[in-house]
Amino acid sequence: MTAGYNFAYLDEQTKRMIRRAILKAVAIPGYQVPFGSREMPLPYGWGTGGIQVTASIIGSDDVLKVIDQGADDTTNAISIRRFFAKTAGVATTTRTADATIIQTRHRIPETPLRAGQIVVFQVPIPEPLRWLEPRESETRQMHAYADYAIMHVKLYEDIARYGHIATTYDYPVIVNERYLMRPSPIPKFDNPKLDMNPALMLFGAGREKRIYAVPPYTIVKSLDFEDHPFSIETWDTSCALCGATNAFLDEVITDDHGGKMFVCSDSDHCAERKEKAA
Amino acid sequence: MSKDFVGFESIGAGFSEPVADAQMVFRRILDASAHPGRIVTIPADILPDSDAGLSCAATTLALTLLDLDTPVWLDANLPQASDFFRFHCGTPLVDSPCNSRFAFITDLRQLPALTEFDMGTPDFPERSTTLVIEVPDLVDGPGLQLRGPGIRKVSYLRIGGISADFWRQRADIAPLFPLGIDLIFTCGQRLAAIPRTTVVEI
Amino acid sequence: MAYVAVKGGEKAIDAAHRLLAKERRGDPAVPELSLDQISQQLSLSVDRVMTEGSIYDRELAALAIKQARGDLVEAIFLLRAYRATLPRLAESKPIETNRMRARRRISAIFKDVPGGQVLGGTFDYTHRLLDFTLAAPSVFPDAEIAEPSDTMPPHVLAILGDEGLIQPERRDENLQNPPDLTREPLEFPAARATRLQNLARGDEGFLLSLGYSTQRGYGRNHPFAGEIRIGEVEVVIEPEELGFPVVIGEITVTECETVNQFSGSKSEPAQFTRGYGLTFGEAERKAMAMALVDRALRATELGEDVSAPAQDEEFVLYHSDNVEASGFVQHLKLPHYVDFQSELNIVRKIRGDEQVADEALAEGILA
Repeated sequence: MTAGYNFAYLDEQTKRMIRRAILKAVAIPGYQVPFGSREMPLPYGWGTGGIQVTASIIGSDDVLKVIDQGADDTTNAISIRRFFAKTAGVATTTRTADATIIQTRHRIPETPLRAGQIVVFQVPIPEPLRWLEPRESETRQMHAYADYAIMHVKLYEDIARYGHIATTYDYPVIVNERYLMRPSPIPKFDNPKLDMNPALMLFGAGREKRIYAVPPYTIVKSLDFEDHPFSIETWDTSCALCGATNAFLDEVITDDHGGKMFVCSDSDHCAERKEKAA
Repeated sequence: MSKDFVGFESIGAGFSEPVADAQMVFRRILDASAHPGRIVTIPADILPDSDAGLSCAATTLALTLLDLDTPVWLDANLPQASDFFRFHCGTPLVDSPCNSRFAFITDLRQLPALTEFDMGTPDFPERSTTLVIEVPDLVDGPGLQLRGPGIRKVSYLRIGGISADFWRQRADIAPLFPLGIDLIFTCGQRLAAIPRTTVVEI
Repeated sequence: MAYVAVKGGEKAIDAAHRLLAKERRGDPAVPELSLDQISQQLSLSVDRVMTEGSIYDRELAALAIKQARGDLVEAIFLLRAYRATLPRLAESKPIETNRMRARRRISAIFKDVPGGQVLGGTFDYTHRLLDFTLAAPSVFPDAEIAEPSDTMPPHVLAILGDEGLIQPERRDENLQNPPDLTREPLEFPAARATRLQNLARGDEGFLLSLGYSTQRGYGRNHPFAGEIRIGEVEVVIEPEELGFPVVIGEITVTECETVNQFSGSKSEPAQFTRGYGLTFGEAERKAMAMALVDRALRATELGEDVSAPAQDEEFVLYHSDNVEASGFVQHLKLPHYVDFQSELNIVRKIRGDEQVADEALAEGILA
């Protein structure tokens, strides 16, 4: 552990403030609880909200997994995992099934989550209405009275213009039939995993100073229209490494002649499948 | 130590390992809140000697979550707790339930109406009172069926000492959601939570 | 295979840290900078880093500047992150700038003022000609330094106040204690105390441009530099257990008060109004810009139209902080390939749909 700093970096008073915010977030699913976000030793926009949430919940018997883009070996995931290994001395893992806390940026693991696990999402912009209404004073009122008309209009305009809803990631959802929520920039491929998931999902936005939550077994519905039901991305191909056909695939450019291949974005899931096949 | 004695000794001790103990208790409270009706147990040995007049579960909750930013309301039955709260948590104590972030109830007969507590506002529904209610029993008592977020289908909880009128009051304020009161029931080392989203049937 | 390249992440990070340390030091044949040198000879950089970093500590600010290779926004970030770990021991009483021992004090609204105009050490009337003699170790002229007066005359704006010509600064009755943005998130509408705290921590360049925009007509408010003073003030705390005030030290601050013309509104008579700027150390440009923006943000309170960016409190307060802005702009460097994949899929889908539609249209025309 790093000398001079508290366990998991944050001081106890800050943890208490964040813990109270987390409990209220769980009590009001999908509602963004304002909190006194602190400056962290990592830049805003690089996971400070997720780090503060993780730092406030983590204990010495936890096992932490950190992913970015679904992969454990991306540089920012490594940096955050090291931060907690250093400041909290906790065990870390790349295996989804072994983790008690999973901090993530932009993905939900392919391996189904189990009861008792906590997923901590890093959130850049927590407000689902922000692109449509830049003013916090306005959007707060819209949430207060569940007035989400502008979002429905926006999606409807997409359909009129493109023939389908053009949002592909950070696709808005309604939590427990009340609050409109941004699931953070996960691809819409991951949205169905939010619904009735046995794990607790916590969302931290450091720069924007908001915490919100989806408790386990909570109804989470992606917005859609009866004649244009929600659908997820599909690929005509399978993972070049493990052969998966029902996982989110990243396109990798292999040469400068237009050569490319598709591989799983979830590096742990992919490695495990290869292991089993071998 | 006599329960009637109110003096310096009533302050009692805090956590023996403040950082680790607070983290552990918080995770259990979080587990209970995320799974309404689930009973979690706080190990007795983390609180060597406390005489705040509250159960182990309620005392450790206070040590974990309260500080100078959380005004607290204590019912009339809790004179010795006020020194404990001031000394260990630095909390301001308030006279009116509607100004409190946390309220501790031990005398169920004197429980104020739920609407007397702070239910938050439509803009800021989280700025509401969390009610910590000491009950005589969390194993036996009228059976409750719970539904809502955190519960796969239905969960069952038995709470002693709570009147049917209390649950009626709670059902009456449910339509005001997102406004509401979050409940935590404590008994000895045991703790269970019923947040505002939970639908309770007797 | 290209994909494997990202596997080296852990080693790459360590190597990048070593390389950064090497680049920071530069040519080892050149003597290394000491913190004293930075604090003494780059003192205005130190002042800016202390102001926007929200800690008054010259040595820490100098260290941050050295560690950040002179990148002041990075140095401010280092100081802020350090600040967040410090315990709060006491709250000071408001500093008394009317008791400042001023080294510089000017007013642009009167030819002379009680206590006189004190120019102090300023760039103002230097001709901006590169001084090549500084390229070699310089012999500096011995300046005669007058003892600052211990009894500073009242603020110039108080003279206007005595005649009832300028709006008095009122205590906000709704506020028991000044809000603290380092502990509570912004809320709107924001109290003036909150706005001032935000602006004091705000990026100098951002405030300078916004202040400038008000002078060019985007929310014009007719400012005059009522008074600018730079000097030392005492910091006083009054511990509850003592019951009397104790001086714990002295800090240098720059204060700017603007006088702004105001023709009156439904709620206010015609009188001059104020803008206020305050910084640690010597930061006159920042203090002036802050005063202009403070006045612009008072538009609503004074019944003026809110039409320009500098008058829009959500716009100004949410975007003034360079630690937040720098982090979020630069986070675009992080991998976004999952979201980009989703976007690629949909652009291909839309283009595919259009092609099908075009082909159908072409067939229709031919048929």
